[in-house]
Amino acid sequence: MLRIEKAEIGHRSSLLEVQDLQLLPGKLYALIGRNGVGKSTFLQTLIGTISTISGDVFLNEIHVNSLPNKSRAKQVSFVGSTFNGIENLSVFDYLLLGRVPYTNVFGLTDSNDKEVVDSIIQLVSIEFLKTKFTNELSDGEKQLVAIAQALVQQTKLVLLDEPTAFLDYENKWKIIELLKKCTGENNLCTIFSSHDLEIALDKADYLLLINPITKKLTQVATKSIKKQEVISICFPSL
Amino acid sequence: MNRSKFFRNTLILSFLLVILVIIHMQTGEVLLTFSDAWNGLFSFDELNQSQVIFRELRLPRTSIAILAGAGLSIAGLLMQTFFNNPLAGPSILGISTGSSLFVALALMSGFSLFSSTVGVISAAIFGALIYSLLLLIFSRFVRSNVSLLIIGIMLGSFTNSIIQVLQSYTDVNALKAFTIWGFGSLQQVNFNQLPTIIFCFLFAVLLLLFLVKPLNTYVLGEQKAAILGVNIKWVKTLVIICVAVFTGLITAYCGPIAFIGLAVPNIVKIIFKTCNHWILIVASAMLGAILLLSCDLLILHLEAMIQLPLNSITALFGAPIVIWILLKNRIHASN
Repeated sequence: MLRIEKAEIGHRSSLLEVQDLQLLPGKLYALIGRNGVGKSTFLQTLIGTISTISGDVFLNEIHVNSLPNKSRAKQVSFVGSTFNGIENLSVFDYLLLGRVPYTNVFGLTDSNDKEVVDSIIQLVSIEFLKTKFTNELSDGEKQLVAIAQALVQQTKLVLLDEPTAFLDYENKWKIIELLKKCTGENNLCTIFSSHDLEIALDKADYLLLINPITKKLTQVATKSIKKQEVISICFPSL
Repeated sequence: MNRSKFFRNTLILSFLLVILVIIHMQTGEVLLTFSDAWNGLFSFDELNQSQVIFRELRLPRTSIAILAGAGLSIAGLLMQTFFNNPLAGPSILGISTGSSLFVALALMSGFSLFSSTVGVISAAIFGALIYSLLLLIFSRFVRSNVSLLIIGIMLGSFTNSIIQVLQSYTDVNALKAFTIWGFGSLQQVNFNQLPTIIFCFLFAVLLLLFLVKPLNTYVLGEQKAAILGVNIKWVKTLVIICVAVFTGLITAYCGPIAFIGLAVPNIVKIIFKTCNHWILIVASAMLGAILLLSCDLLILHLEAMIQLPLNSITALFGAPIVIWILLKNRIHASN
C-alpha cells in the first residue's frame, strides 16, 4: 500500500528520519510523538504536499511526487484536526465535495456520486445531520462529518492529523471506533496522529513512534508493547 | 436550499431583470417600439430619429449597465471565494484604482496608440492584472482578513495619490475628462464599441466556466482544495485573468464603479444560502445587473434636478453592507 525507503522528512532541514517502512491495507496506524517532532510534516509528506529531503515515498508502487493531483486525490485523503464549518454549506453538499476527484471539469455530480454520499452517511450514521449547515454543528459532529468526507473520497489511504484533539472523552472513543470499523470493512490503510495513548494502544493495530532524541520513526505492533515503553520512546524526558 | 426555493428566487430575479431592462430602455423623451429596436439593429436607417436614439443612446447605456453590473459582481464573488474573505471586491481592494492609474497613464501619455479605444482597454486590463498580482503576493504574507482589506485600501489610496499627482501635470480638458470618468458613468459607450466589450466579456465568461469546480472546493480553503486534486497554480492564474478582464474592461468604459462587486455577492449568499458557484455566479450576475440598472434609473430620473455621479449611488447601497458584515463577523468572533 504505502512504502517509504530511507526518507529524510522536513521542510528545509531534516526533522525526522524514516528507515524502510511498509504500511498495509486493512490496518489502523497511530502516529505518536511529542509536539513539534514532525507528525504533521510526516503526514503531509505522505500526501505529497511536502517533498522528502532524501529518500522516496511510494503509493501502490508509484512515486508520490510523480502522481498528478487528480489521481493522487483518488488514492489519499486527509482530515485536519479542526473543521470550523462553513456558512451556507450544508452537510450533504460538503460531503459531495469529496467526489471532486471523480467529477468532470465542470464539477457536475451524478446519481452515482449521490449514492456514494448517502451510503457513507449511513455508515457513519449521520442521517440526522444531512440537511444541517456545517457551521451549526458541534465539534464532535464537525469531526464526524470531516471524516465522512474523506470516506466519500473513496481512497485506500486515509490520513488524519490529530482527529481527536478537540473532542470530549466520549467523542474521542467514538471517532477512533469509527475509524477502526471503516478500516476493517473497506480494507483501508488509516493513519492518525494522536496524543491519546490509551485510545491508540487499545484501538490501533500498529503504533508509529517518533523518538525525539534519535529523530527516528519506528513501527511497533500494539500487542507487543506496553504503555510505559511507548512513553519511554516518545517522551524520554518524563 | 431546496430546489423549489432556488427556482422561485431565480424566477423573481429574471423577472425583475427583464422589467428593469424594459423600463431603462424606455426612460427618456421618446417612447420606442419593438420595430424601432429591431430595425435599429438589423436595418438601420440614419434618418429615423427613434432608431438613432435606440442605437446610439438607449441600447449602449442599457447594455453596459447590465454588463458592468454582472461583470463587477462576478469579479467580486471570485475574489471573495479566492481570498476566503467576504470583504473582498475589485473596488475595495484597489484593483479598480490600479486599472484607473493605467488608463490615466495611457490617456495622458500623448501617444495616440495608447489613447485609442484598444489602447485604453488594454491599459485598464493590464493595470487590473498588475494590481491583482500585487494583492496575491501580499495575501501570502498576511493571514487575517482585515489586514488584507487594509492593504487593499492603502494600495488604493496610494494609487489615487499618484493619479492626482499625474493630473496636476495635464491640461484642463484632460483633467476634466478624467475627473468625470472617475465619478463612474454609463454614458461613455457608443454602439460601435459594444462588439468589443461583449467579446471581451464573453472571453472572461468562458474562462469562468472552468473555474466553477475549483471555486467550489476553495470554499474549504486552499489546502483542502489541493488535497481534493485541484491544480492551485492554474486556478490562481485563471482567477487573476478573469478578475482583471472583468474589472479592467468595465473600468475602462465606465470608470471605477465602487461597491457593486463587494455588495452583490454578499446579498446573493444571504438570499440563496448556498456555496454552489454555479448558482452564486448566475445569481450575482443577475442581481448585479439589476442593481446597476436601478442605480442608473435613479440617475436618469433625477437628471433634470441634479447630476448625480454613479459612484455616490452605488456607495449608498454598498457602504452599509460593509459595516454590516464587519459587525456580524465581530459578533461571531465574540461568541
